[in-house]
Amino acid sequence: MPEKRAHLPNAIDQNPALLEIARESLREQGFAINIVPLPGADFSITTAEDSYSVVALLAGTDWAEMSVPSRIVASGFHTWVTESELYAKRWDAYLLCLAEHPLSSSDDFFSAEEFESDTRRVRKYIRTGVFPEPEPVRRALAPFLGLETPTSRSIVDPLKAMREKLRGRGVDPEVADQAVESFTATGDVRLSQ
Amino acid sequence: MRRLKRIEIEGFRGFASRSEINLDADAVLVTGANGLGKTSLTDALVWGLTGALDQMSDRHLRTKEEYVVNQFLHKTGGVAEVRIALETPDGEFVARRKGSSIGGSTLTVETDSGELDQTESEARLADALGLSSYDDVVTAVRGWGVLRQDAIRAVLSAKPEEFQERLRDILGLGVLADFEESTKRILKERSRQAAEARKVLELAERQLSEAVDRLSRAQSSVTETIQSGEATKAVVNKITSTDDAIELRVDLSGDVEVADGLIQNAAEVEASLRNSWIQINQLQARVAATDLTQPKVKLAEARTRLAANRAAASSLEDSLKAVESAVTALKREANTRSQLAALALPLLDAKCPVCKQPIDRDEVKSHLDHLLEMEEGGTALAEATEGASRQRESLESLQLAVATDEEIERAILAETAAADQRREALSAQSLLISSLADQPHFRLKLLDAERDFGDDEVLRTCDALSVLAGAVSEITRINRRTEVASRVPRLKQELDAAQAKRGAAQQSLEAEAKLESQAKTLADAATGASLDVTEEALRGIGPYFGSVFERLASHPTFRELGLAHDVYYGKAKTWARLRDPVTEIEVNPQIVASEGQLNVVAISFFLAFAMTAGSKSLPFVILDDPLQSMDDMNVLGFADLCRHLRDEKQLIVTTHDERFGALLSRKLEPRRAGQALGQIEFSAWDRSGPMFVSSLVAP
Repeated sequence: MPEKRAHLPNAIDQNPALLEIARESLREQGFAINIVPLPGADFSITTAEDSYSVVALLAGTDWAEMSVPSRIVASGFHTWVTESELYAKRWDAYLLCLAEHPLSSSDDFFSAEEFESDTRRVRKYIRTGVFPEPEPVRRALAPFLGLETPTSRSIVDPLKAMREKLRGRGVDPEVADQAVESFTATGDVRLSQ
Repeated sequence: MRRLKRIEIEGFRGFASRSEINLDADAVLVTGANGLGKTSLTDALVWGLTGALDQMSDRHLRTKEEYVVNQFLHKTGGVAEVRIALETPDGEFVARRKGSSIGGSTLTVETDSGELDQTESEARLADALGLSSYDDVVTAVRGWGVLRQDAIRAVLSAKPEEFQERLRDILGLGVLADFEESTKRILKERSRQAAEARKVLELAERQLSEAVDRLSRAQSSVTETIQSGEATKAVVNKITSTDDAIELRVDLSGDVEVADGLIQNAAEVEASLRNSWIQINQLQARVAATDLTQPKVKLAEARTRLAANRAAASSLEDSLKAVESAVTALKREANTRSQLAALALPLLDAKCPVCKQPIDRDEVKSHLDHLLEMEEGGTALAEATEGASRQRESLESLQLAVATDEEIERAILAETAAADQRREALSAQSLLISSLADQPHFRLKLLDAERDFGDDEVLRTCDALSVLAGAVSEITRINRRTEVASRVPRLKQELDAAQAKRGAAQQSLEAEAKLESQAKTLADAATGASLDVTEEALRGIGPYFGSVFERLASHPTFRELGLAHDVYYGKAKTWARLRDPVTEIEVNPQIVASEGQLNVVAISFFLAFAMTAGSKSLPFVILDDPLQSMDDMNVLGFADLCRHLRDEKQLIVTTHDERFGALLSRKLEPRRAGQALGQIEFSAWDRSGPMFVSSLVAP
């Protein structure tokens, strides 16, 4: 008897653009990207791995269509992690489900909440309403990315910025200049004729 | 690279005896049940760096209650000591703080050349932490160095203006608040000066108006001066005219003061004259009514009676004295006999020596008393007494008559004296009228020397004097108008000066008003401009608040965290906002979030502050029991977040939760080169302090 293989609908891979952006974002963050055959299934999934964790990526259009397949992938992915050399990362295995459209029905909200709150086997992240653009995708990938810190201040010279804003709010340029310069020099604003 | 390396604690809060704890790892996990010393450890770090424990002073302890020194040590006079060792690019740096909450503490840095003083030690500590000043050290540690349970919610509970202020501190925009304050001060000063200038202008306008008025009045009096000479002549002529009875001549020198004196003098003379005239008339009437003929006759008769009665009274007084002497002698004799009888009575025998009959003494006594009464009531004494009495009555009558006549005499004499006085007064008034002829500025003269100065002359003189006073008053008024007119040139000069002064005041006010307007525009714009700058700066770091929040993803719909800014009543305010990316609705977290979700929001802000503090950023972040009402999802997300935190700063986490401790222990295992996990497990506590086990896990 041929080995029964799971058959997943094509809906999971119906958003290659979204998947590609996610893949690239993770690659830029230092993740190693792989295509891994899912045990017990006849398709592969995209994984991303760094020193801390391994993440399986799913990208679709609607969560409603992804809900059932995601559970199968979660189970298969967990099996693959525990049976491979990534066993040590079994506590750091994640399934990230990206859906372009936001949740619309209460059933969708319920199933997403239920799936995400099930922390057994792999940790699940469901992100919906993710437009296939770098910024929305980056935000969806936040749990896996390093903390960004500002490399430089957007305002380097507050008083100089203040001078410009004063002019923009109707203060005479000479008055604005005089006020900022006197304050810079003496610590007090001074106005003279 | 900078990080906390080691801490030595002695006599501080839960630590009585000396303990040394190794912190030399990029992640340090402190576990243990409540009350075993975990918080004392984080408190030691805070107190060692800043010298204060804000959460203790917030607990309303009594002023003299010691809360830094270990209570067992405090009883014996000990102090707390904390030594903190830092790893810096220049090597190890050690700072020591010693003291108490009551007595204060000192920070000391030891160098090869000896101990540094407090100020220098603080500066060195700031440098070791990579900060500009010790004030920045205190601000950073208090603001975003240690995440405490009580501080978590304080972030969200902060007033919008306080939240704004904290953000400004982080962004290094505190100078904008100082600028705003300075614009308000300059506006206040300019407003004050403009108000002063307005007062000066008002005064100048008032003075100008008065000058105009004075000049106008002076100019109106000029037209009258032309005729003043003729008017004066007419008046003088009137004064010097005479009638057929009296002549009145006046000496006018033209001097205003003399004229005033003349008016007053004439008025006084007139009043005196009229008064004298009245008195003379009264006296004359009374003198005419006085007839002393009869009184003189009566006086003579009274005096004759007086002489006779006085002589008779004197004679009668002598006779009365003699009679009274005789009466006195008779009475004395009668009294003697009575005493003799009383003495003889007891000498009687019980029987009569002659008839031998018993003697009744009571009867004898009664008989003697009767004989004595007969003697006392004798004719001589009675007649003498009656005679004296009659004489006394006569004498009294004489004396009364004398007194009456004396009174008559006195009354008549007084009447005579009064009549004499009236005649004298009448004579004096007449002399007074005569003396009026010669006065300082005018002369009265009776044209008919033969006539007496009688009633008619007196009245006409009074009338003349009244006319005189009126005329002189008229001349004085004319002279004063002339004087006023002569002041016109000077008043014109004063008017010119007042106009110039007003002009200057007007210019000054215009200048001050312009400055005030500029200051107002500046002050009004400063708050909004400051907010603009802050908003622009916050736009740069705003995403970091959301970045932390997104990792924890605590709310199913409001998944984005951000900030909103506005200006109310001249104050810039900032609020936290949760946003639903699907509907784009923004809400206050305190309205839609649960307790656990609010804690996630607060942690997000705190960690974002720590990560974006820039030049005021510390090389470490301490999370003191950060789990509060978090569910499993949040805890897992937070544990993953801690991994990323250690990549940016030295991470020190304390927890009493065994599961979370175990999770963190696994999550924070070193996976990359250079990473290490320090684990400190507090297991017990006694009076000497906590018991703990330290370990270090390296890759």
